[in-house]
Amino acid sequence: MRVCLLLMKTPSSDEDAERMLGILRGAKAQGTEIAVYLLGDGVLCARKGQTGYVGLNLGNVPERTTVRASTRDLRARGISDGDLEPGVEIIEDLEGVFIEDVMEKAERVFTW
Amino acid sequence: MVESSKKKTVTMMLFSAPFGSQYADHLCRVAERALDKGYAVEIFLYSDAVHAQMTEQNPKLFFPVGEAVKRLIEKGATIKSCEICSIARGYIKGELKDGKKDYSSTKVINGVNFCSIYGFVDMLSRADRVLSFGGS
Repeated sequence: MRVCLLLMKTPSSDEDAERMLGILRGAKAQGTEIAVYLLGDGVLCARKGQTGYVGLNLGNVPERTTVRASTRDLRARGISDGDLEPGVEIIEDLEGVFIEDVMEKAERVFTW
Repeated sequence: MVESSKKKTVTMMLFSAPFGSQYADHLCRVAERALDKGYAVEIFLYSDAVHAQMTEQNPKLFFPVGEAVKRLIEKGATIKSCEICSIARGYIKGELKDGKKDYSSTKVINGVNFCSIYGFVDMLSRADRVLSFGGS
């Protein structure tokens, strides 16, 4: 199964980012393929060097998981490519890639 | 581009007000890309999200949600707004007039329609995928 997760919140504004990562862990256990999309404030989860729960975990995502962040939203927040966790894909048309994944490939989608 | 006879439908619910957060911006951008790729798009505005239907929005520095809503309608999106939420916020009266509910308003962008939460359930029944945008 392929699952898309769209995160639009900061790592620490509430517990939603943490919940998303809980799903990531569960998916890893079940062998589910996961695509994480970071939009708006969600791109802040991709910054490396975070001491919080989210940063540590996004830097160590399970196999078969892709993490994609919006170029526009990274730049809007002054985040350069070198600031990101290794493996995070920077996508110019994140909305287009996301919706195509949701409609054509994924069987489930969750948004926060 | 998806062939029209095989169009899949994505239904999106917005429940946060524009400008207070970026959820409306994100929904509009995802919806527009979905339309560009040939998918059918249905949007339900709920709670404070009904403010996205307001005419004459004039954000100087923020994403122009009102313009995006108009563009989505022009591109074929179906946009329905919660009638109770809209009555509560003064957009429509919703009173019976000649046997029909009065949804006339100069405050609402042309092409935005109204329904109850049960109408949203109908939208869900047609959806291939459902996305929600909003929160604290």
